[in-house]
Amino acid sequence: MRELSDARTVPAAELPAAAHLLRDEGWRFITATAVPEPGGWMVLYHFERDERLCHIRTRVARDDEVPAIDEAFPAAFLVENEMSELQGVRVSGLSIDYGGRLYRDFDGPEGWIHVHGPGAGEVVSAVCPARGDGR
Amino acid sequence: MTTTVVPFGPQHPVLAEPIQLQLSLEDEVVTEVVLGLGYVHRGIEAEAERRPFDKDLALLERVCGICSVAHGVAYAQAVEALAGVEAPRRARLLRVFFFELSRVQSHLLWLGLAADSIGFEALFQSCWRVRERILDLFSATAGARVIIGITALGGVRVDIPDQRLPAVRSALDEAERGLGDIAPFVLGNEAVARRLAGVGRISAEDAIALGSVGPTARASGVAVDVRRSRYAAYDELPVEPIVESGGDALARVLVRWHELYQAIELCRATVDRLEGLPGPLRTHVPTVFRGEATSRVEAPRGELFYYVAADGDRHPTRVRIRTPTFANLPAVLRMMPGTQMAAVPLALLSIDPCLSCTER
Repeated sequence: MRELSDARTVPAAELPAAAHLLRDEGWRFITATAVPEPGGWMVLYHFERDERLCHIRTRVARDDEVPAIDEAFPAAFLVENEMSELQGVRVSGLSIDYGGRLYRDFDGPEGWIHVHGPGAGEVVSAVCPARGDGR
Repeated sequence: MTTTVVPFGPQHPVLAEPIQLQLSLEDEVVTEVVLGLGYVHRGIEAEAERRPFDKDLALLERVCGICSVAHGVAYAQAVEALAGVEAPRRARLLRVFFFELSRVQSHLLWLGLAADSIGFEALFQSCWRVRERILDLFSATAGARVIIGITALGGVRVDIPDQRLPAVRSALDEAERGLGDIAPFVLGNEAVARRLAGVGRISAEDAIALGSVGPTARASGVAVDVRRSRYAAYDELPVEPIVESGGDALARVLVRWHELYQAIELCRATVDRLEGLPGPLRTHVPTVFRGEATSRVEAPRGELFYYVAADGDRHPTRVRIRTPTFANLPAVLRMMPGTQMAAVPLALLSIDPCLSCTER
């Protein structure tokens, strides 16, 4: 198993503090990646400084929340809203919360997830109960 | 004062692709903006998780037509990292050649559209006339004009034989002469400068805090350029980022304009190195992997980031794509408050937004 070098795992509750530390050290936020795992999510946050990358890895159960890091990195609010809407990851404490309306429905003003998401009985990307493995 | 809410988009004359900015206005000035995406979202990340690694390449090259090469190379680099292999030197040089040629056609496409948006149709036509020469060069070397499909896992699919290199050099010279012909209308035209100056201003501090990338960040004085990480063949072709300090639409034009010459020069340097260089075009890449890898490239609009994870199956378990336009959208939201309604289209266009990339 070839894992990312320069990746470290932190508990979800410690994520904002870890993000603040990275910001103070001069790291730039690139993006976050939510990877479905059995029963929950592995969320990776990617950062860059002087052409070097580092990653913070955290794991949350399906019904648990992952705290937002957009207080430390304002650029993160967009991808955190996206993770919430397109994959169903619960993100708490967003400074700008689109409430499910960042990604609009094709046919109206409602957010896509409100019309087509799990609550509406449809399958959302990477939340596929039919596979039985959390994907 | 009364606040008026105006939906800018999803359909608008300056937008080739749909996006919505819900603008709150006081008089003619924007006070607040709410972003709306998803009108053409294609679910490509999820689709990539259902296809074998090699079939994903053709899919991901179609995330965006204009920076198709960037997506292909970024994905291939991630898979090669997973496999623990490196593309041969000739292949890495060819990747840089087509990459930089893509940058030229992308910047010219944008410059033409920006000129059209300010009513300068002659400049629009001139930019696209030069761009046609680049597309002709794509056609002559790769066999296609836009989505050229040159990338293979472990290398490239196409070679440029030595006997074709004089024609390539000649085409590059012709494109550079074309740029020289239109330079006075870009750099020395007072009407263009007055129309662009001060529009969509972003400070260096905001560009850093909001994660801006590519020409948008460099025009605000932030010297970020992934090519300095020395991927592909940039280890032997060092790139110095082109930086402006204005932080406005004019500065973004200047950065891209100078990057046109820089890209052509890089193409020439690549051709010089390819001449007489023996070597294979591909390294063998296995079809089954286990692990995770990331890859970054400097696409025409800025940093393109890929994350690929595999669990030993024939297809990836996760493909994550962070496109440059997605990274630059927070800057758009920051630049809008205080902007005159009439300048909103130009401010948005100044980041060279690619909704095809964003709606991957």
